[in-house]
Amino acid sequence: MKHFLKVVLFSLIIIGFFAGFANFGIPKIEPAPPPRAEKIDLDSMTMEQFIALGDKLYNGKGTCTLCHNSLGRAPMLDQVGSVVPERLADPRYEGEARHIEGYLYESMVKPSAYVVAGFGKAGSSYTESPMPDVTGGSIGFSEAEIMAVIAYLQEIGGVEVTVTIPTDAPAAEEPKSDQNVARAAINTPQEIITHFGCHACHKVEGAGGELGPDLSHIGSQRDSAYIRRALLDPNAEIAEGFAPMMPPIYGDQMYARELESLVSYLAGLK
Amino acid sequence: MTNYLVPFVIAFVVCGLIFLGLDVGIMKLQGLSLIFQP
Amino acid sequence: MIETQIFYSGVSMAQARKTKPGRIILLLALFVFIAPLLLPDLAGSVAFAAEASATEANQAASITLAPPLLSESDYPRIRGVNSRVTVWLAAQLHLWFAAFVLAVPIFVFIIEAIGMARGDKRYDDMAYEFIKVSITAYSITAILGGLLLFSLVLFYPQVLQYLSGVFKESMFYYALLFFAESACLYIYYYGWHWLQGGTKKWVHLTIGLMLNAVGTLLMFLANAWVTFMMSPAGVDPAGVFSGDSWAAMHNFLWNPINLHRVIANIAYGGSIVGAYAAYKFLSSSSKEQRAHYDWMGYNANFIAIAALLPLPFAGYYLTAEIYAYSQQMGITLMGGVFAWLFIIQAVLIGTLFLSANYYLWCGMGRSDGAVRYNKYIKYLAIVIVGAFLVWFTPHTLILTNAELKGLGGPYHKYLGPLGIMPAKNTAVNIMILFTSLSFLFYRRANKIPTVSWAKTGNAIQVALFSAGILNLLFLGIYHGYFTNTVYKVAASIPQVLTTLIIIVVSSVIDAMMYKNSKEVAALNWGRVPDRSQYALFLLAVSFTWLMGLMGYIRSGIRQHWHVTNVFRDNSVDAFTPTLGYAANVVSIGVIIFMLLVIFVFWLSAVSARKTETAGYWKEQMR
Repeated sequence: MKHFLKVVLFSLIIIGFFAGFANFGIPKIEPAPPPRAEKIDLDSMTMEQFIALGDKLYNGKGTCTLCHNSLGRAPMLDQVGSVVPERLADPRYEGEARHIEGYLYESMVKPSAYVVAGFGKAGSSYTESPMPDVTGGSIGFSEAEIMAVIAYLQEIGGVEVTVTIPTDAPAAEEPKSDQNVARAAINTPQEIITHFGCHACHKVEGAGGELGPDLSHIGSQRDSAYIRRALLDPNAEIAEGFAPMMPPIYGDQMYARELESLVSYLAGLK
Repeated sequence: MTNYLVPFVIAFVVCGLIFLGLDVGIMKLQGLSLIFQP
Repeated sequence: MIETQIFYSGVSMAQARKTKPGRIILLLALFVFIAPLLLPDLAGSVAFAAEASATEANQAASITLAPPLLSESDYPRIRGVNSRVTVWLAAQLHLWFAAFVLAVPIFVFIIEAIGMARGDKRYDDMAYEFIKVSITAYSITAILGGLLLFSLVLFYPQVLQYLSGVFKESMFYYALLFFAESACLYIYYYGWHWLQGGTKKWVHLTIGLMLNAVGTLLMFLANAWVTFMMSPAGVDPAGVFSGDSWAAMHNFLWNPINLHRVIANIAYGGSIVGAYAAYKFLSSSSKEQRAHYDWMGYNANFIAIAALLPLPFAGYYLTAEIYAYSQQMGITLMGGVFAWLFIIQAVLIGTLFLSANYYLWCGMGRSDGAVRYNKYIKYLAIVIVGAFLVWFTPHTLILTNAELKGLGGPYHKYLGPLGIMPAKNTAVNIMILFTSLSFLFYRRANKIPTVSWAKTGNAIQVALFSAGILNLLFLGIYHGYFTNTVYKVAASIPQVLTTLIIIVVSSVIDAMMYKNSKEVAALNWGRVPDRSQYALFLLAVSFTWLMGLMGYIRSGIRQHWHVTNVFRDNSVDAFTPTLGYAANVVSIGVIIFMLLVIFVFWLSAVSARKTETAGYWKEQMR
């Protein structure tokens, strides 16, 4: 009997130690409650509120930061402005997007359309993405929620937020695309440069990136024919020392008047 | 002493080479190299 | 009075053990029953193909079974009863007992075979004792299974309806298979003394093999249902099932869990039997009893450790498949809200390795020759404790806001990387390696080699271990600190293989080196301190608690889903509880389990008791 009691006491102490460690030895983390479908009042939302919604979803229901962080499981999402044009220009890219918004949308609903090198599933020769379709069960985003996250990513990436807030009316599940809606023409060259995000790769009038040639004095280096061709068919001739990264999309996206306005502006930068 | 040291050194080198070969082989099977190539 | 029929075998002992018909029976049983278990994929696809063609021939069966969208009121409740905890405890208790009753036949079979091969009756007696002690556990396993099924019917009827719709064939045959299991078990146990000698012994061994095969098959079927809930297959993204039962069964996690559970069951069963032997050792009344139970405890511990060594690799493979199914699920498991659970797991595994090794080191005192190896033990202890500390280091530190600011983040600059898998893989490989080294020392303890190449052999052993350990450290440090995630994960495979190669090769070299060796001093079974037996209790309790914790994580990773991503859990209990709460439920489960196990062991002792009465029966009063 003595041994029985000793063994029972010993066992209870061990169990108590493990339970105690689990209760007091580790941080008390309260797991998030199961997600509930939230009613979003889209009609009365401002763009700022919409972007804030995107922030909340990105860090919450979307579980985006689970993988998209500095530990290396998924690409970082804070530089969409400079990164997305590179992706679109990649010869491996076979998706259907033409600009940042379209690319982000495609990445969220069809992640395997284009898998960034090094981030694919092992054993799929890196052509299959481990990211789930965000409209599926594991994340369960609605169309409006997807657009909110895109708006947020564009905002933190420092590019123009091209998303428009969807209406509450049940719409057909079409990806939002600028190509279906005629946008207003842009009048000044500076506004054209801002709208198409040229600063992401090029220095113009002192400010901008270094992925592409400095355009501050391009007028004294190249003529208008060259500049026009560079905009319409960038890969026809790559400037020495630079990678073929400029997206061949501006011929589709710019209105003819905008193209000419930009060409003459750049040719005038001597 | 020598009949301990000599077999030790030989065995160490042989085992080392076998393990190195194993490492390279297994990493290669997974589509990677032994030394990190970003 | 019932006559006990004694059968004699008329042939010589050696001949009796090696009868031809007996061996043929066993080989046949091996192919018919065991091969399908080793190739569940092949067997399953053949079975389902046969069935599919039969169905097609009969009817154009079109099934569309969709998971319902439930609301809180769809879940029946009984006042005062927490549905989730009921199902949780019923499932966990069932699993503990099922693991035990699957494990015992595995080593009873092996021990009986060893006894037959060596002609040593002690092994046969020990095997019989193991199965005698555990016989009532089978009933309790079935009772708990019934309780689990009832609680699912009562509290989660639609879940059961959906799952039984997907798995109707396997559930039906699962139920029928219990007839086969009971038949094999009862003939194996009750026929033990009848089926002795010659062909009969082979027949007995074959029945033992069949018992194992049926039990393992039952587990594989149940594993399919539970893994389907975690990583569904054979259903479309909305969860609609259209009849492909084989695809549903053969989901991502089925084989990894099959492998993990077979190995873990063996380790677990060994630890429970070890606890039984430890208790009987402490309460034994004679030197012979002490010696007998010491020997039994040693064998049980050997089985537990032998299965414990490959277990981390099976667990790693399981987790890798979780990541392959859904990276989101994998990261939630190990880097998200469940990450701290694995620190608790680390503490438990460290306890297992430390207590198993401590038992071995205490056991070295059985022989006077072991004194030679005493000086090395402290180094083994230092390395194993050091590896445990690395194993248990978390990635994220528990810090106040001020400390966070001071450190510049939640990770320690140098110790932080010890919290991610490459360091932990290195640590666990080292723990496993040094545990097998403890074994090597223990086996050598009271022997002197007589082969001419003993010195060279030792040199080779040292070279093998040092080259291997350097390789482990290289793979862990270089790939852990200086590469990216893909390389880090990939480097774990050569690490595993290095450890396994060292264990196998060193065992072979040692076996060859100590052939015909001289005994320095006799092995005194029974000459161990009492505290070594407490190491066996620690092993059993820790194992049980660890299994409970892992049972929680297996179910908890589904979070608010009945079937991941397709069948949503909308009950009031759908929330993921805190780890503290889970640990408390697991602890209660462990206590209930221990009480039931004590009952099982007490019953086997009670069955041998006899009370002589006088003047009770009318025959006695004539």
